[in-house]
Amino acid sequence: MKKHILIYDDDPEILFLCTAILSKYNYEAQTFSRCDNIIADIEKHKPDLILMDLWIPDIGGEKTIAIVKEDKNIKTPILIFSANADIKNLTKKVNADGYIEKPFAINIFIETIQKYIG
Amino acid sequence: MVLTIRGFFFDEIPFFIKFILFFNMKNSAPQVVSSHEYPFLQGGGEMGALIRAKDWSNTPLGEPGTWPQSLCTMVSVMLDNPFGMYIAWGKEYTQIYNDGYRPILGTTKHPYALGISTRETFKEIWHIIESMFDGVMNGKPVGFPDFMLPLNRNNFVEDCYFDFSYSPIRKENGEVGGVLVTVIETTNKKRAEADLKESKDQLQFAIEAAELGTWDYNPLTNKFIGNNRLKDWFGLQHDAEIELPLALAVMAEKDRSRVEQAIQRALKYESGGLYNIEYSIINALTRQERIVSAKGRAWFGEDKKAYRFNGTLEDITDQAIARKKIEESEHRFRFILEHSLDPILILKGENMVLEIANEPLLKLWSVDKNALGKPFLEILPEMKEQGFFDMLQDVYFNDKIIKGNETPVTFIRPDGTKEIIYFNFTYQPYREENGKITGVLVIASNVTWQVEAKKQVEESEERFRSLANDMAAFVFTGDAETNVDFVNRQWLEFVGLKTEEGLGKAWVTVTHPDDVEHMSGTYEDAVSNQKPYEIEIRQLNTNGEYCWVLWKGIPRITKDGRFAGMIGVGIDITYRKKIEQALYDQQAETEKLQRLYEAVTANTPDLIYILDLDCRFTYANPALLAMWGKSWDEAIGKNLLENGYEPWHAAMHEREICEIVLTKKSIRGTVSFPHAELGKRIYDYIFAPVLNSEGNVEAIAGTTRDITDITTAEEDLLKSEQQMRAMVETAPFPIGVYIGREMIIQFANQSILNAWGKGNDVIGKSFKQILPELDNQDVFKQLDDVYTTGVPYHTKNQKIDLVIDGETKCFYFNYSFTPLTDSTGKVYGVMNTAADVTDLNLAKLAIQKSEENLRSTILQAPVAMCFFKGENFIVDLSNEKMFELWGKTANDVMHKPIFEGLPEAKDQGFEAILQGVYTTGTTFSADGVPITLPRNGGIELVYVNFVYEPYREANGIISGILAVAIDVTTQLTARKKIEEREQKFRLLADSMPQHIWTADTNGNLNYYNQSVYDYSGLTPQQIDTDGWIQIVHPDDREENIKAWIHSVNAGTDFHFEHRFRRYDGEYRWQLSRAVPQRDEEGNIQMWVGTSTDIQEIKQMDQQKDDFISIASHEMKTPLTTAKGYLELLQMQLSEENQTILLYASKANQALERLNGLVTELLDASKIQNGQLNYNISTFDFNAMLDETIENIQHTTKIHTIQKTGTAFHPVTGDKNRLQQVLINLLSNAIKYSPNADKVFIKVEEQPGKIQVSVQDFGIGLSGQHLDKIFNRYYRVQEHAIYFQGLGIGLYLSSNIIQRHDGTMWADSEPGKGSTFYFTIPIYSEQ
Repeated sequence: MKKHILIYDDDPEILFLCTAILSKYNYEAQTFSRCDNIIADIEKHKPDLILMDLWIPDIGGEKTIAIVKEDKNIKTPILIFSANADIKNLTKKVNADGYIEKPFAINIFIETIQKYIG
Repeated sequence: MVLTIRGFFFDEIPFFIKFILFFNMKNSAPQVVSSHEYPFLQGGGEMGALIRAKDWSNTPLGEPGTWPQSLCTMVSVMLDNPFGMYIAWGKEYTQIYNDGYRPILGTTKHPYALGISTRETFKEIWHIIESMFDGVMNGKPVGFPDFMLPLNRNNFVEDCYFDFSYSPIRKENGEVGGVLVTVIETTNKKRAEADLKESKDQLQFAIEAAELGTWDYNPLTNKFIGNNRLKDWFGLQHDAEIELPLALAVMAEKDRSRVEQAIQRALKYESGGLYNIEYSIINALTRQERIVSAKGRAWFGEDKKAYRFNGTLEDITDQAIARKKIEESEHRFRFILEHSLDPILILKGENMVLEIANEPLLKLWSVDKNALGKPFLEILPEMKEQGFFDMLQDVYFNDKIIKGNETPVTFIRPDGTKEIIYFNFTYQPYREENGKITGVLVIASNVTWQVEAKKQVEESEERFRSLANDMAAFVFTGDAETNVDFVNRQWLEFVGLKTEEGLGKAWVTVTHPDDVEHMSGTYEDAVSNQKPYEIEIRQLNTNGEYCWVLWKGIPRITKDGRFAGMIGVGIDITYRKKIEQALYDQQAETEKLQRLYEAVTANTPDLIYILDLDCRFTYANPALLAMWGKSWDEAIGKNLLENGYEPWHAAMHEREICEIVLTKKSIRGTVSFPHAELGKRIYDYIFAPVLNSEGNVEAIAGTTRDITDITTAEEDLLKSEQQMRAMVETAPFPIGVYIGREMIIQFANQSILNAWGKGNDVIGKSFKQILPELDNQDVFKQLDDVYTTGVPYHTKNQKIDLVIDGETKCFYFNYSFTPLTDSTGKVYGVMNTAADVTDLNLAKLAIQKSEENLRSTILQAPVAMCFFKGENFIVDLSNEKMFELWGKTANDVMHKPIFEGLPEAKDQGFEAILQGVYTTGTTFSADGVPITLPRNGGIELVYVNFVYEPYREANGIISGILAVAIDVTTQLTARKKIEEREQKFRLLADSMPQHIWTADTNGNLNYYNQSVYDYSGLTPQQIDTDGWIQIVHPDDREENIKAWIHSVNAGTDFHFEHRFRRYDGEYRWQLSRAVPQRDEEGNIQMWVGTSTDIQEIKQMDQQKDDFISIASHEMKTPLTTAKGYLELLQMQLSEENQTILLYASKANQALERLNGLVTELLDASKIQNGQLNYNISTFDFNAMLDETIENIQHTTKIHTIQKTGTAFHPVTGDKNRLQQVLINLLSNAIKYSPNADKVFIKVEEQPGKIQVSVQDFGIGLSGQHLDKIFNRYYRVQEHAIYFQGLGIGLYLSSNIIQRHDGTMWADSEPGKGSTFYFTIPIYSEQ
C-alpha cells in the first residue's frame, strides 16, 4: 500500500511539483493551500507524513504544527517545508520532527521522506 | 502615595489591611492554578514584574504554584496596594514586597531582598526587630509610630522614620505563616534627604570650624553615631560603630559613674532633656587624655520616652587645665593661708572688714574667729595712731603696694600690756577676677626674732667693746692681715691717741725703734702661723716715756676653724722690768739691794720671791706671804710643797728650775691656783736665773703677777663671740656673713646653707665661687654696692635661680645685705639675711599664667579670634587671622574701640549685635553674613561665619566679648558659582529635544530636563514620587533595572534600548546612554544620561528585516518550482537525448547559482544591518504616475487601468520607491480581481498633500485583516502571512509611504473589491 503524504503550501506550483515527484516515487500525496482544517484533514486522510510550509494562510505553519503536536492522538511525523533561512532553529522551536529546505534537490527530498516513512 | 499625612493613617491602616485580607479570604474559594500563570501574581508595577520574573524554585518558598493559599492571597492584595507592604514568610522570613515598600530598601537592598531572608537584608537591625518578628509569629501584632531605623540602604547609614505595623498572616489552619509589615515612611524621602544633607553640610561646617565632636545616641538601639573627630578622640576607626558601653569605656574611670548618671537624668522626661557635663576621655589607642565638655539634649516622643539624644563634644583640655591651674593656685593660696606660720589676712571694703584671716594672724592679734566680719579698727584701735589704717586705705583707693621692712608694730594686749612686734609686710590690693579692687591682701612676716637677733649681735659686739674698754689691760684685735682693727680705751689713753689713729699699723709710731722690727717679725710670724705670741717691747706713753709693755696675743679661730686675726692683751711691765734690771745690775750689793728690793717689793701687788737650787724659798715678799697667809719664818727655808704648793705645781716649778740652772735663761709661765682670800686666780710668773760672778746659777728669782682680770677679759671676748655665733647659727632664717670685697664667706648658718644647697665647706670661699649661677642676676653687684657705699640693700620677692644638685631651680627671696662696719665705720663685710618666699610667689605666678593661657589661646587659635573689652568694645587682644579678616594691621585697631579702628564695619548692624551680647549675655552666632571690609586697598563684600560670646568674670559680670570668625567668602562664592553653573546647565538641558537626566552615585535619578516632562506628560512631583520606571514599558522594566544597577555598581557606561510611554500612551523606542562623571581621582561624582527617540530608526530596522525575510522567501518559492521541474525533466529524459539533458542540467546549475546568490545577497544585507537608503529628489509626480500606469497596462490584456485627476505639484521623495508602491498597488488590483476588467486610479490634491487611490473589483478583504495590515506590522512572522496573501509589495509599500510622512489605508469588502489609498505631503516652494 502506498504511503500517504499531506503537503501544505500556499504556492500551487510547489504543490503540483511535489505531487509529481512523489507519485514518481510511488507515494500518494494530498495537497492543501490552507492549513485551517489540519486536524480534520489528518483524520480524513490518515497520512504517514506531513510536509508543512510556514507562511501559509490562515494561522501559519508554526501554530498549525503546535496544534497537531498538542493532539496526543496524532502520531504522524510532521516536517517543516520552507525557504526560511532559519529553518533548523524553527524546527526545534515548534517541535517538528524534521525539515526539508526549499529549494531542494529531488534526491534529498526523497531521502528525507524515506527516512521517516521508509 | 499619601506618605506625608501620617498619624491618621497609622491608626487606620492596620484595620484597612485586615479588612482587605478578610475580604479576600472570604472570596477566594480554592481554585486551580494553571502551571503556566499565577493569577495572584498579576498586577503590580515593577515589583509585579520582578516577582513574576523571579525563579522561586531556589527560595524556601518554592514555586508559586506550591505557595499556601493565605500567602497567595496576601501577595495578590499586596501587589495592587499603593501602601508599602512587605511579607516575611515562614521561619526563614522569606521576603516579598510591593512597589510602595520598595523605596525603603533604597538602592543597596533592592532588588536583592526579594526572595531572601529578612535576617540577611536587615542584618544591621536584626537584633532590634528579631524579637518583634518572633512575637508576631506567636500571634502578637505590634505597631510603632515614627519608629527610627538606622538603615544602610544607600551605602550609608541613615536614620529613617516609619510608621510600622507588624501583623501575623494566618494560614488556613490558623497557624501563623508569616509576618505582614505595613509601613509608611513618615518623611518625604527626597526632600528630607536634600534638607538634611544641606543642613548637615552647614552643621558639619560649623562643627568643623568649632572643632567639635558630634554624637547622636539612639536610646532604643543603644547605638551612637559620632563624627570622625569624635572617633579620633575615642581612638576608633572611622567606620566603627559606637555603642554606649564603648563610649563609657573611653571615659576616665573617675568620671564614668557621674556621666552615666547625667545621661540617665537627661533621658528622663522630667529633666527637660538637657545635658551638660565635663569629663575626661582617654583615647583607646594613644592613651591620650582629653577633657571634654559634652552638651546636648534628649528628644522625647509623646509617650515621654526619649527616642533620640544628641549633641556635641568640645575639647576643653586647655581651658580645663587653665581653670585647674587657677583652682590650684587658689587652692595653694588657701593652703598657704592655712598653713602659713606667717599671718595672712584679707580686709574688704573701705572699712577694712576682716574677711579672711589665718590662725597665726588670729593668734598674733589675740582674737578668735569672732573677729571675722569686724572692721579692722574695731579689732585693733591702736593701729590708727600708728598709721597702718591710712596705709591700708591708700592701698585700697590708690591701687598701691606698700611694703614694710622690720617695721615695729605695737599691740595693746587684752590685759593692757603693750607688745612690740616687728614685721616685714606687704599690703597689696585684693582684686576680684574682673580686676576690681575690693580689699587689701596683707601678708606679714613676724621678724621680731630676726630684729632682736640682729640687735643681739650688735649688742654683743657692743658688749665686747665696752668690756674691752673697761678692762684694766690694753686690748686689741687685729685682722688676718696684721692690721689692728680695734684697740681699747686704756691703750688709747696710754699712748694718747684717738680711736681712729690707734688702728692699722699705728702701733709702729709709738714703739721704740729698736723694737719695731722685733714686734713686726713676731706678730707677722704669729699671724701667718696662727699661733699665740708673747713679746715685751718698749712703747712711748703719753708722757713721752718708753714703757715696757708685755703683749700676749692669741689667734682668733672661728668655730669652723678659720683664722680671723689676733686678739691681744697688753700690760705695762715697765716697773717689773726695772726691778729685774736692778736685780741684775746690783748683784754685788745684794743686801743693800735686798733691802731696797724689800722696800720695793713690799709694796707691790706682784709676788716676788727667790728660790735656791733646792727649791727652797730664800725670799718672799709681803704680798706672797700675805697670799700664803704665812709669816716670814714660817715660809723661808721651806720648799714649795711645804709652802702649800700642790704636788703637780711644785713638780712643775722644780722642773723649770732645773731647766734654768742648765740654760741660764728665764722661764715664764702662767698658772692658776687658789688664792687664800680671793679664790682661784691666774698668775703670770717669771723665773729668772740669779748668776754668781762665775756666771753660774746661784739662785732663782721669781715674780708672779695676778693676771686673772686680763684673762677673764679674753675669755669674755671669746664667749661673746661664741654666743653671737650660736645665735646666728641657730637662726631659722638664712644668715651669712661675707668679708672683704671678695665676699669671703666667713659665716653661713644652716638655713642659708640649705637655701644654697651647699655644705659647710663654703666657709673661706668667695661668694662668687660657690654661687656662680648668680652672675647676671644682679646679686654680685648688689653686694658690691653695699660694700662700697655702706648702704644696706633690701629686696622683696626677688627671683633667684639657684643650681641645686646640678639642676637650676627658681626661688623667691626677701633678702637684705647689711654692711658690717668696724668701729671706725669702715665696711669690712656684709651680713646677708633672707627669707625664702618661693612658694608664695609661685602661687601668684600661677594665677598670672592662667590668664596668659587664655591670651595665648586667642593668639594661637587657628581661626580669627579677638577679645573686645568693655562696653566700648576695645580691641584688647586679637590674633593675626582676625587682623587679616578685618583687613587691618595691629596698629590700626589694637586698644581702640573696634568701630573706631575699623570704621568700615560701622552701620552694618554689628553694633547692635555686640551691644545685645554685652547686655543680655546671650551668645550670638550667624553664618554667611555679608559685610564690607577693606581688602586690597578697596572695600569688598565678604561673607563671614561668626560667633560673639560674652566673656564673664568669675563673679558673672560681663567684661567683654570674645569673637570668633571665619571668612567663608570663597566657599559662598564657589557655591553661588556652582548654582549659576547648574542653572546654566539646566537652561541648556531644558532647551534640548533629547531627554537628559542625571543620577547620583547610587544610581538615584535626581534631575530630568523639560523634555522628559513634556514627553511623558508627567509632573516633576509624579516622577519624584513614583520613579522614572513608570515611564518604561512594563516588558522592558526588569531588564532595564538590571542593566542600570549593573552599570552603577560596575561604573561602566550604561547603554540600553527601551520603550518610553509618551503622554498620549504610545510607547516609543529610546536609546538611553549614561556615562559616569568622574573627579580627578577617578571617583564617580554623578551620572549624566540621555535618552534619544529611536522609534524611526528602530522601525526602519524592523522594516528592513521584514523585507529581507519576505524577499528571501518569495524569491525562493519560484526557484524551488523551477528547480524541481528541471530535475523532473532530467529524470524523464532518456539517455538517448544527451543534448537536452545537458541543457536541463545547465539550467539547473544556473538555478542553483541563483539560489546561492539570493541567499548570499540577503545574508550580506542582514550583516550590513544598515538602513534602507532613500534617494530623495523633487520630481514630477503626475508624470511618474502616467509612466507607471503605462508600464503596468502592458502586462495585462484583461484589465484597463483608468486614471482620473492629476497632481499639479512636484513631490520630494524617492521616485523609484514611490513608483514601486504604485506598481504594487496596481499589480495587486489586477491580481486579485481576476474576474474584473477595470482598475481605477484616482489622483487628487488636498491641502498640503496628494492622495492616490487604487480601486479594484476583486475578492476584497475583511475589516479584521485591514487593521492588521496597517497598524501592527512589526510582528514580522505573524503579519507576513497576511502580506503573503496580498503580495509582498503591500507591506513594503505601506512602509515606504510612512517613510515619506504619508499614510496608507484601505477600504475593502469581501467579494466586492478593495480600494487602497495613500497620501504624500507636498512642500510649498518657499
